[in-house]
Amino acid sequence: MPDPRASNPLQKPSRQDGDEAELIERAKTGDTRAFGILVERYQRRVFGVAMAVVHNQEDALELAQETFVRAYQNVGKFESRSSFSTWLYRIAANIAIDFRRSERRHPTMRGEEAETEIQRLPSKLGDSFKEAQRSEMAQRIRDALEQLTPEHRAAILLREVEGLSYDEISDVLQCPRGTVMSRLHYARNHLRQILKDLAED
Amino acid sequence: MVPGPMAQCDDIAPLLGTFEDGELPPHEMQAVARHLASCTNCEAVLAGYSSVGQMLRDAALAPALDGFAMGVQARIEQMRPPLRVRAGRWFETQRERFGNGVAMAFAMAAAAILTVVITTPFARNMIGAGNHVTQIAVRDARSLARATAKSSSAIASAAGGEPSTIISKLETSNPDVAVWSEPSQDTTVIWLPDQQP
Repeated sequence: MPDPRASNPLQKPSRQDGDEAELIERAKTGDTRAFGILVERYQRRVFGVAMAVVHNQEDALELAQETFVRAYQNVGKFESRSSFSTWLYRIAANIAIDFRRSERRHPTMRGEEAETEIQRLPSKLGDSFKEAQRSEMAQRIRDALEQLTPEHRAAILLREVEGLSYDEISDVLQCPRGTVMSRLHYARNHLRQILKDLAED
Repeated sequence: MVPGPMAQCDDIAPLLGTFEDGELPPHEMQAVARHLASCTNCEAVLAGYSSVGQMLRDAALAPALDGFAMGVQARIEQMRPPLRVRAGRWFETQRERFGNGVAMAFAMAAAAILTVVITTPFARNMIGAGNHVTQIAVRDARSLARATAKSSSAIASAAGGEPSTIISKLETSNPDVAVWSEPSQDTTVIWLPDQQP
């Protein structure tokens, strides 16, 4: 049974609890440098959580920054009842979910999005065949993810890419553990069907 | 539902992903593992899930986060620190400037405020009321008997009237009777001296 974290590029940051507790205490007294270390430590995963919900890199980066700003404003209220990382991911998920709701109410056309997509495509002259193939594959996976509802997409990405446990996903997405299980089951089946040929290759 | 020893694919299928994630309870892990040992179909589904997970990880965008932390730090440094932090800093500055004398000054100021609060008319009344009740309690037996007689006659004369009338008559005719009223709770307590034989 493979551990998704083993080959995960966005690995869970290694942390020493004592050190982290001290950084949090310092951040509570307004020490921005201590908070900066926490930002460095969790930026990739907070980005990953935001990305899992909004599925857009630029928005996810902006939301990740907003997450840390809000975390700094509220770090005084953090009481170590849950882990600092889960607390951060919950803030990130809430901000991303709110953002997605407002986006749904006010859909906008984004020039930058199209530009980014074009940049992602391999240039005919410069890229090798393998790279083009990889890019095509990545695009297919992204398209497959787009077919899922945001709830199913967030659940599968938080599990497979971010390596969160079921309890953590349930906490971050604020839904029961059973719902996490059923969302994962649905998302996996759906993706397996769509990406069947890629999986066989 | 826990799958039995001869569980069918339909029972096992919903558990495969959770099995892959190692999030099933031990007895269900065992049941799924037992089924997988003899079912190539479920084994293929599980392999499919595994490749989906690998593909998602491969396709995950590793964001360019250079300068991200600095950007966050710049933003939070521009923000006004929370009141709690500002107050803490102010006290720290004062302590550094004047040493521990400031702490002593604050302690003395707090003691002075407490003294003023205790000696206000309200506080005196509270203390006085307590003494009054104590005095009633320690009156000698003869005085209590006299008081009781007066109280009894006051009650007798007020009998049949309104409760408020009874209380006012008791208070005017007998200074040894204590009445405590709590209108918000609709409660009135009357202390009468013990009757002596």
